[in-house]
Amino acid sequence: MVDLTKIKDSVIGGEVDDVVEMVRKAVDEGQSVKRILAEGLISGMGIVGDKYEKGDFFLPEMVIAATAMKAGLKVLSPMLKPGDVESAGTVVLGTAKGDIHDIGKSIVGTMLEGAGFMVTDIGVDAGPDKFVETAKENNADLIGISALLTTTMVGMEDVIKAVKEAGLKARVMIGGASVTQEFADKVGADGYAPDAPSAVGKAKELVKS
Amino acid sequence: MSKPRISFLSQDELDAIHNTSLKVLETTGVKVMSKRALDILKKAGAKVDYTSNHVSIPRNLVEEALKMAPKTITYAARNPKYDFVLDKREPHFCAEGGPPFILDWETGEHRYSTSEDIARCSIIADYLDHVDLIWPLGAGMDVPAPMRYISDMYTGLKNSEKHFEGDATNSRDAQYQIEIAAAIVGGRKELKKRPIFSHVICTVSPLSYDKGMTEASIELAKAGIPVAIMPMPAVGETGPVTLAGTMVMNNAEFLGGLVIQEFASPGAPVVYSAAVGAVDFKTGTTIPSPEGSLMRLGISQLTHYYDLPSEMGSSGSLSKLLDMQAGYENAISLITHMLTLPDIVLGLGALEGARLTSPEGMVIENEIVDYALRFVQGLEVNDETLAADVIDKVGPGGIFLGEKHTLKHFRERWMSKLFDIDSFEAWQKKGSKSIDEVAREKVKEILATHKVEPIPENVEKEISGILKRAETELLTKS
Repeated sequence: MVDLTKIKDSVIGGEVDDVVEMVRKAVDEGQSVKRILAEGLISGMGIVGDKYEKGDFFLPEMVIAATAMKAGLKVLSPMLKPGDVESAGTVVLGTAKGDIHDIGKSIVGTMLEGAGFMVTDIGVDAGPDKFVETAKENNADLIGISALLTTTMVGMEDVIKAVKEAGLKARVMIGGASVTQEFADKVGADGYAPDAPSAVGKAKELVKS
Repeated sequence: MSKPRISFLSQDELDAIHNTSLKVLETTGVKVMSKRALDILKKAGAKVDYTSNHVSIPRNLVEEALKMAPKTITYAARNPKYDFVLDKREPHFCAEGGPPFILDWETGEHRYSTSEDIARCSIIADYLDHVDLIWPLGAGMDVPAPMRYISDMYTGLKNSEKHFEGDATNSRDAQYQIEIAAAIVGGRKELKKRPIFSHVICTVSPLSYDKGMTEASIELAKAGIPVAIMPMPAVGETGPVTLAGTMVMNNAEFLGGLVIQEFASPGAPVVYSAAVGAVDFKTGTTIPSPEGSLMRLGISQLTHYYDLPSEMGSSGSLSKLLDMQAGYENAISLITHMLTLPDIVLGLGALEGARLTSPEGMVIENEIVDYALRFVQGLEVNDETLAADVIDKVGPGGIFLGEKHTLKHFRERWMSKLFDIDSFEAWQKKGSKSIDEVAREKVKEILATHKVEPIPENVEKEISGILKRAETELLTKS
């Protein structure tokens, strides 16, 4: 029997191939999919998040652990039933239309994964329709929009309008180099975070409220 | 004259960076999102895949582009007395471009900047003797986004007689900007001869070229407007974690951009720029660091290797106020960058990692540049400067102040114009002011007294016509 704590440790160590192999084996052995997910993958990522909080881990360690976790999840996903995934919340993330800056949003995504969120990243140059569609598909609790340029941050407002018009339950938070709380209030965002670490706190707060 | 210089990469190391960059362009290739640029690259002989936007750029194209690129470029200005040449002889200085926020010098508030701020900062930059070109200090957040770069440019040109450096996110931005500048100098032909503005165009690291900016730069190349290609790979994030690897990334992206420009318009004026950055691995933010400076200085050396004009981003400061950190970060960065003799050093007047404009900061940095320029000028050793005669004349226990030799040379010595050199009592008598207070008073004085030659009325009329057309097209479309 595959020891689930070994899966957890491999997530923490960012051993992508080992995680996939052990998850496959555990599934073949008939271990509970829900337990593989909770005790192996998610609990591993949780420890990575804690280590980051304490200052022992840095972003590269978070990113590789998240990659390992997601690779394991991909193996499990065809077998997962609704309710199997006990996450902190489901998030759809993207960069606003006209803006192709990727890195800020990707870092936020990783940090959220570290905090137990399930994240779908729709990439850059994303229009309102893409945000709304993906949020519907994933039954998202939260939508995160990023923009670096002063000329593209206006695109965030269009997404917020579309989300409201579609009557989605998802709350919207925004961020980026040119964004402020003042701007977030003006365009009707539910939340704003000035940097990646504080985005996690804000996301938790928004999902609860 | 013996001048202090930094040159720490060997010829072999420069060759290695160059060759690795060419290998990256050919084997890994780049992603180009503009069909127009893909057509240019295809025609030039690159391997282009229109479905995936992937381009493999062979070595010979880069070599040809390097041959086509001009080695010197004139940056003209609305007032020809401010024209200067990028020819690797002396560094010039550029005000930082487009920080969305400003540290209000009257209220101390950290707020979004406006067109009014750009206007006032342009007047200050116009006054300061070491600011040679102006990338607008601020973003006109009061202007609708599709008009912002066009409007910011005109605000800058109206409020300063110096060379202007602009931004564009698409070819329409560039076309309208070219029209405005042509109206000022008297036609497109004249503009090609005397480009009163240039552009900074960023690649998107790693190895990608955005559609809008690439097409704007092609438009500018055809009009003879200089374009500084500025990759911004960040160590371990959008570039490899090793410093040499991120330099390769910057170099490959620059060379890829150069190929597009030169094959779009042979002989197009292109400036090598770099904003490579070190990263805080806790938050992912780019930060000023000795390693950022090392990479930029190394790349500055590469620009000498290629004999291309250069514009280096200084590392700047992440400080949010005009404190000691802002002072030392900017001073260290400015002095070290100048020691590799780039044509342009940019970043004057910015704080918070180029997110925040500080007009007082620009006044202080103008003085730092004054200090640094004197430093890089070096010193002379000959009979006159060794001064054996006057030493002999004054002798042990004497005084040099009244000597002819002293009188002849003392004005060559550096003198502070702004920094505090007073005794405690004298400083107290003047109001016990810190340098930021002194600079704030200077800002107020400049704004109250400095006059910029206005753009002639008939030209202004013509330009308002251009702006109206731009508004009709760009604002209704969106």
